[in-house]
Amino acid sequence: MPKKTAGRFPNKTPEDYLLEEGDLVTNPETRTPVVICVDCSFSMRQQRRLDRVLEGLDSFCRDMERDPIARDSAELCIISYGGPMARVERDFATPDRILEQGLPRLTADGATPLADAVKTALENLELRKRRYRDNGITWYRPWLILIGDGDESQSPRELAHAAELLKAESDAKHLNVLCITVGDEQRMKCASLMTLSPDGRIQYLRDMKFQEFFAWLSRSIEKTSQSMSGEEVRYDPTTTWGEVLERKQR
Amino acid sequence: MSEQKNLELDAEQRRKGHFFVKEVLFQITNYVAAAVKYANHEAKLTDEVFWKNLFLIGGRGEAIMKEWDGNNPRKCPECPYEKLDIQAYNKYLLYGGERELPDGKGFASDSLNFFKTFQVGIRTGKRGCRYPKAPYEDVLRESIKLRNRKAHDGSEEVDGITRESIENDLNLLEQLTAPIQRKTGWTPDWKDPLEPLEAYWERIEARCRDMFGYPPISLEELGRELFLSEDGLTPQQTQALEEAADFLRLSCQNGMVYEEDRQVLKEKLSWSPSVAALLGKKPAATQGEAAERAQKRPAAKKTSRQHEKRLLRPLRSHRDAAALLQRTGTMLPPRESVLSAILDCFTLLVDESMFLSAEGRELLNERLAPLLARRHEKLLVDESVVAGLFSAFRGSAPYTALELAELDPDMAEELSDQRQKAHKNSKTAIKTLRFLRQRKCLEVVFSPTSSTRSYVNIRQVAEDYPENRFLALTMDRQLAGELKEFPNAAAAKPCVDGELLLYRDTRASYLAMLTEDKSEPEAPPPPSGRAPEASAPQEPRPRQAESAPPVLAQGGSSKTLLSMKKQPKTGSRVTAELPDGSRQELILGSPVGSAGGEGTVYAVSRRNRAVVKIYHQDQLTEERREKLRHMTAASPDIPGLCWPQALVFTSGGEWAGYLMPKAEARELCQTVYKPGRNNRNIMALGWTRKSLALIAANIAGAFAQMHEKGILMGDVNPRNFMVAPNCAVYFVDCDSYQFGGFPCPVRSDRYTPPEVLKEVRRSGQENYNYLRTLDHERYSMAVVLFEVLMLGKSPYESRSTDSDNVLDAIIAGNFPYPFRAGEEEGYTDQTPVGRWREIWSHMTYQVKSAFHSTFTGKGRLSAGEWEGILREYVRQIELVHSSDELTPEGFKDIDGTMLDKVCSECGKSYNIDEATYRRRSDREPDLCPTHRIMYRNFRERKYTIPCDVCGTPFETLVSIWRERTWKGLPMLCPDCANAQTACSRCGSSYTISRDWLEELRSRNIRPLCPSCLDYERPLVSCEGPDCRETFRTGRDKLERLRRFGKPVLCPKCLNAWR
Repeated sequence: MPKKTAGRFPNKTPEDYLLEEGDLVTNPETRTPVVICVDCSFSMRQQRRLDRVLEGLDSFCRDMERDPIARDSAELCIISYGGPMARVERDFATPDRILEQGLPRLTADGATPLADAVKTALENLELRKRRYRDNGITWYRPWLILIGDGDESQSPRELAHAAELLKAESDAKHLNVLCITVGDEQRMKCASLMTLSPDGRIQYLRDMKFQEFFAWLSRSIEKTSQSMSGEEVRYDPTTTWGEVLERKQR
Repeated sequence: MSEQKNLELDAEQRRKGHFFVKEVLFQITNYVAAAVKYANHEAKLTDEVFWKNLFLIGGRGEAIMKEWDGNNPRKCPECPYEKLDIQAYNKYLLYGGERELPDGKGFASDSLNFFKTFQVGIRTGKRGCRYPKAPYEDVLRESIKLRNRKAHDGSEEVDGITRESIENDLNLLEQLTAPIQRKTGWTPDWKDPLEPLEAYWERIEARCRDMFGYPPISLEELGRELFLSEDGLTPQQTQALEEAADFLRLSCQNGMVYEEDRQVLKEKLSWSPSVAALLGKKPAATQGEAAERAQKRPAAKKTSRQHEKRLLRPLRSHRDAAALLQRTGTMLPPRESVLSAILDCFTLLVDESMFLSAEGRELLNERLAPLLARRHEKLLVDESVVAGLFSAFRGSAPYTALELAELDPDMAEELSDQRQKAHKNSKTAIKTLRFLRQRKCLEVVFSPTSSTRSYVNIRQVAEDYPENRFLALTMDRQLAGELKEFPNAAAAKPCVDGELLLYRDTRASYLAMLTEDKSEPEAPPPPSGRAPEASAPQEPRPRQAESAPPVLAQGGSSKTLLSMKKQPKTGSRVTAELPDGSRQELILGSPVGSAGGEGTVYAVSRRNRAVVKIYHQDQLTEERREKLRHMTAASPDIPGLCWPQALVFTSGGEWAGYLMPKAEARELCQTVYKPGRNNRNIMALGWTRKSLALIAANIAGAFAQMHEKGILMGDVNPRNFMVAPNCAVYFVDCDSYQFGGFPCPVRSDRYTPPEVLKEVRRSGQENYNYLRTLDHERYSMAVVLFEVLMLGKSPYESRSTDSDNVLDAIIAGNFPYPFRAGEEEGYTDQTPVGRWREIWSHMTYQVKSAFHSTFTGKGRLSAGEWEGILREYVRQIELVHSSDELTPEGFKDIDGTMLDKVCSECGKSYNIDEATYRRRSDREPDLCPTHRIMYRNFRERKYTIPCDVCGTPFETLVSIWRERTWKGLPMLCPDCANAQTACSRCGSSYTISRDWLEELRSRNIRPLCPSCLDYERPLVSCEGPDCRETFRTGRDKLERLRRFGKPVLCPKCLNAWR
């Protein structure tokens, strides 16, 4: 049975819309949009990688919900890419709404449309920014986190285009991009994620330390939401969970 | 002072009361039944006859017992008297005489046995039937009604219950059993032994008292008991009773006494002189003695210590105040200075009339209360005044049904209106009293005499303390006349426009008191929180600001980096060197707060009140050390300022940081600036808008103190302020303050004045060090104050700015908040989206004016002025002139023309001005502004929905979806909006809109392709006069019309022609 059916955006009932609008109007806090793209291709079945990612996501949401400032500021969007195209599993919502709805149940199956994921992520982010502007809400620099393990299955041209977009956004300081990878270290050095990463570096999670990564991420986002606009935020070092892999200069 | 029991009952008590009365109703059935049984047996009436007679038809066409209740008139049950309930007995007794015996033998008279036995009078009514005499007849009638009421346990019945109603009901029932009670020597032959009726009622009364308070005791009844007369009291006795009540200072209206134990009261009455004389007892001399004898224990002696409190304050012979008052003469204008002078010169006395009259209340609430609060003084009020208020309240309780029946019907309505108004008035008076007590402007003291009349007490006070000057505020002319005798008292009365008018009688004493020279040493003025700004250059109120371009600090300062071998961390030992030379060893605890850019703050193990800041390696410069050395040597001692107290050195003797007091608080930007969804974070701290205003006022106050000592904060940054839950403000990071020539090394963009930003831009230097002036600081402070009041919103953020370019907006100087009424329109589209304009509108005029002038470059206020304005804002919120909500729903109602509405979605109340409300259509529901925006946005949202025909999802507007669903139309994606159908004439397929197709189908019209349509129903133009309409008509019809030469008319012209 084809797993990914109609549409890449979730079907929302008017009640969902009403809830969203309510949140936008009653909560004028400065938002921290976070987009997490999760690879759901077949290769993620090895070593139960997808399950570990989902566990990490769950603890991440719970951590942020506990923090009094991040729970009204951080907005999470979960995009899964596996199969013919990327799909927005959960649209932007604060952690407590996401937990209310429940985290998406993802299964690992299909190819890896990485470029599509990036495009969808940026598109959704733009839509969200428009809603923010309509409601007079400011936002901190958004985060984009790509979690994957394999190569791109679609055309390299698309991939290059997506990489350009990312680089433009990141250089203009409109986006924080983090590429996370698991899997075989040797293969990673020439993986697609490397092309996408704007500064040429990706983080490799040895032994699938997703919990540590998500703990670091939740602390960083809490710090961001506590900062004031224009302030430089110091994040914890990433070495506790990841090793940096650099792109080989051709 | 006597705490008045709340006369209102809560829901639970009302329910209890309802069932209590019901219970009593049922219990006395037994008594009544036993009495009737006794009476009938005395009259030798057999049970069978009694039973049969119950089914006789009475005057109302009803029998007392109905046959279909399973009751058979021929079969008398075992104990017929037990089978009846209280209603049956009531009816039996009241309407018993109307029952007609069969065969026209007259009326049944068995019910009369009761009246005869228990000596209730009988009267003969119409047609010869017999009734009990009034008042027992009325009692029976009312009992029937009572029973009817209690039959239902519905909420209307229960809600209407008050203490009085319970007491009235119980009284009624007692009167019902009164004749039974009076009869001595009869024994009720009843299945369960009945306790004596007297004992029963006592028990019920005690229970009622326990549950609901003292029942009202009828004086007349007590009198009847005292004088042992059954029919009523002689006028002499009534007079004696009244005098006794006066003597005992009972608060009694309509002959009912509240809040007294019945027995005790009876005893007291019997010992009062007038009654005692009639009873032949030895009278008691005073009320106290009477009470004593009644209770057989010594009455508590109230101390008049409270009274001396009035004099604890030393008399101020404030000559200027006296001179001012003399000048104003006898009409004292409503100026604050005048009132202040009065407070200085006189001791105020008030009586009930001040609370009961609108002018008095106005004077107390509007003018006196704020003044007293500011001076930390209290108005001393006699307890007799309070007693007077409460007796007024009780006395104006609305008329009961029985009383209404006794009134003259013409006057009844008017009288009850009057009563109602008086009741409401006294309620407001009591509320005022409570309110003032809450605000600590008022204190109640014991009366000097035991009289419960306030004028007596006021007179007594004036008499007892001839050294003091008193001013009595009262509407009572008589009191003023009485005070004429006292040279140390004057009286004044509050007038409509807030003036005080002296009574003519006391004018002389008033003037005499003012001119008297009491030559007492002036009390030292209370230590003010701060001296007026002397050190800072006196800046006048907002003027045209010519801000000089800021001075560039020349070159870089000597940044000689000091060496540090090892950075101290948690657990390291450090030495603190205090300015007086002493040293102290400390151990660093865990880090406190988040790591700052310059260093980390550690708790100190042994001292709870201090923390140590250890600088990072690269921040240890010689310059900094010198600055800190100067700072520790000259501590300004301002509360809330965490000033460095000592330098801290490592164990190796290297300088590492400094020691400062701990601030038990949280960072400003983590509390006020992050309100959370629906302001939940702020509300979790227990804060309201008043707290925010208080925080702002405290910040301004601390700034004022700093400025007068010549210290500037420099880096005004919300991270440097900490707030405690009680709104106390602490300033931290004091090492970066500009102090004694040492410049401040950092600045934040958002808080930098526009002129500095312009310089930075122009010179192109990013890191820019300048010597701040007071003017710059005032701007930064104003920005912080604005953000505190507006929950973190920056002043220059408006609709047209992008969130990234706040700096541009600051330089441009567009302040998007409207100031004067006329400017409202121009600013509507500039204020940022959200509740910000509403918050702004609820600030006081002074606050808005100050912000406006600061942010439009007109002039900047000093910290002291800010403090004054903000404290006034706090007071305005307390007086409910400004909203206390964190985000008010709706604008400030300046001239009272706004309408109050309730949101149909969330139930919150909001206000809206009339014009806007009228403009909205009737079909729109009442929504608060938040929900209005929500629904408006919601309607414009896109909604992805699968098509009803082909199933592919497509996007549509929510409004369209709602409309179509409501109309029952299917949702069609753009592809399926049109369908292919076959023409019913030529068979060719063509496209037609699906909606239209459905419409045709429902109307049973055959679909036609365009060409066939043209053929079958051609388009023609109307040939009517002046009508150029084109319309379709049938081919046949057209041909027919053409054949007969008739004009082709459009339907309109056709109708007109017809």
